Amino acid sequence: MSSPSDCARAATAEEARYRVDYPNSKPRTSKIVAMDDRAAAITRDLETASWNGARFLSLIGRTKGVQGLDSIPLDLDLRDRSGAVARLSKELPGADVVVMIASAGESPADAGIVGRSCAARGIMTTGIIVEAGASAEEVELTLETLRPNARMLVVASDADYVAEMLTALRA
Amino acid sequence: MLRKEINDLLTQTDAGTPMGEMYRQYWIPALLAEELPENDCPPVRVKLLGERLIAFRDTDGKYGLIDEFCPHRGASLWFGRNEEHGLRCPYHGWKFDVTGQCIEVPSEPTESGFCEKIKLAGYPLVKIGDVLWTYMGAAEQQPPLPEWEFATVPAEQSFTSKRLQECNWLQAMEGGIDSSHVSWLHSGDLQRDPLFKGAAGNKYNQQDKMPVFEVTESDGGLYIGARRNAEDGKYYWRITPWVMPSFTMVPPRGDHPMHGHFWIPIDDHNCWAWSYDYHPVRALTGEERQAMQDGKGVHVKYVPGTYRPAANKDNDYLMDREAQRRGETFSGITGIGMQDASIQESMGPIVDRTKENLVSTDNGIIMARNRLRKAAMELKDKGVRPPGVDPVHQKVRSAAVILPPDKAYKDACKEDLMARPGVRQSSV
Repeated sequence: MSSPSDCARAATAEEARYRVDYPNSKPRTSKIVAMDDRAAAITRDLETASWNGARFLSLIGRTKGVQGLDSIPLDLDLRDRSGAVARLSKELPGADVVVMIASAGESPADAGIVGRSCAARGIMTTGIIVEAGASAEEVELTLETLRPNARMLVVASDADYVAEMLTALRA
Repeated sequence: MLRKEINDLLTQTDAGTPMGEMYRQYWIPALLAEELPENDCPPVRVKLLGERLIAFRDTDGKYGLIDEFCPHRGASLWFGRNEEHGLRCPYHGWKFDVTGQCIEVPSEPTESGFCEKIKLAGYPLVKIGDVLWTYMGAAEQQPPLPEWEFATVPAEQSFTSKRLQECNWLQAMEGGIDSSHVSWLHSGDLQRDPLFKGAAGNKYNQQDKMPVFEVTESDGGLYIGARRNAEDGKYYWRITPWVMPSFTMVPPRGDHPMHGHFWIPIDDHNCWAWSYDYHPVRALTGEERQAMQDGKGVHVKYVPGTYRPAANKDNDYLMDREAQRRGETFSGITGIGMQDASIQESMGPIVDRTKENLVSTDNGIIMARNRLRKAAMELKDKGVRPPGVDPVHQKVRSAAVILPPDKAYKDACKEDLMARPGVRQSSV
């Protein structure tokens, strides 16, 4: 009887037991940014769950007076779960991924600042548009705004997808 | 990362499991029609969703898919004699019709009617296209027959094959909606495979190996759009539909036939990878059909007399390190189907998803799991029929198109993504 090949031996359930059991990744730094009020309500519900360091932020608006050039908004003010104001520019260093959560029908113009800031720093961007019964036109509106600013876009029918995706990404 | 209990829920398809019950809501491919080529031909063993079955074609040409084992002493009916309107167990002569009803028990007086008390489990088996389809759910909930375009175009426009894949169905299916692997694992084949090469759109794949993805839900499942830069600020989109539970269609290339897959569980450690090719408006050429029979494109060569791929885990998939070094193949394995299968089987019979590290571009996979889980639980808890059962959900197509940058593909390509009889596919 010939002996089994390397692949045949290696692909058995029994061999799977011998896979090295260790944490094969370091915690990621994930920033979750709610781009509108309804999105903020979704992330508020998630904040109390157990995460691997995910930081939940909601958009307040453009930072005033950055470098004295009010007409060129270079930064955004965000609010964290404690209510403290945080600057986007301070949040991004070290981030692995920025997830923008937006509600269909909203047109978060400041997504451009998030997208460009992430692109400049080589940070992965993902946008989730929560459809929640919105019309195709409303989805289209939000899609148009987010598309140039996210390397991955998802249109999800329910808000529960946000938690599922963040769990899958070990956020 | 997926919690163990959800991984178990999605990967286990025996009777009584949530995903097993969900699979039993659909018409699924059971055999190629060529496996039962004529009336009274030899029966064929079939294992689906963890059930051992026997398929046969009776004297009148009726197809049957019934429990493999004779209810008398448990002998396999694979040894049976298929003759005179039924399959007869060779052990003591008990005979069954295509529904599994026992029609003769020679040792008992005919007048006793004893045979009427004996019935094997049986499922309908229906030929549509090159495929024999079965429905393994409750008879009173049997849905309308499937209407997939590849199975309903004229025979000369379609070719279907199947291959044994020695791993769980889910990790095989997830490969079909993981568009980002194509530019790597299959990179050599875009230029060489006769069923892929020469399409104008191939250059975009080669030029841009970091596509941007958009995943959006459809009534039957998902669309996964991969966007690459084209000329004049426009985008080249490749749009893959996934219809629950396991149908996918690869975006087309030029005027090549369109192709895709079904993944059907045999048991929790094996599945059938079904592969189809069809052209919506013309017959396949002799060269195309020959290439498919020769294992090109998404098809494979077989171990003679079986549907097991000739390159399989017992021969290390005929690994060719020289071809890998030369860049002819990226993984050293020849052929798109076996490039996928070899990688997916290497994950083990059921991949441990608690250890995976998904990234943002895996959102198609994450969303598919989300929809499968929710549909399985809604069926279990509320009896809600899952997406993909309705034939309307099956009338889909993939598409490869160039769009202005401000267009949402789901709306801009609404017609391109629908199966339309007599209308050419939307392809670049």
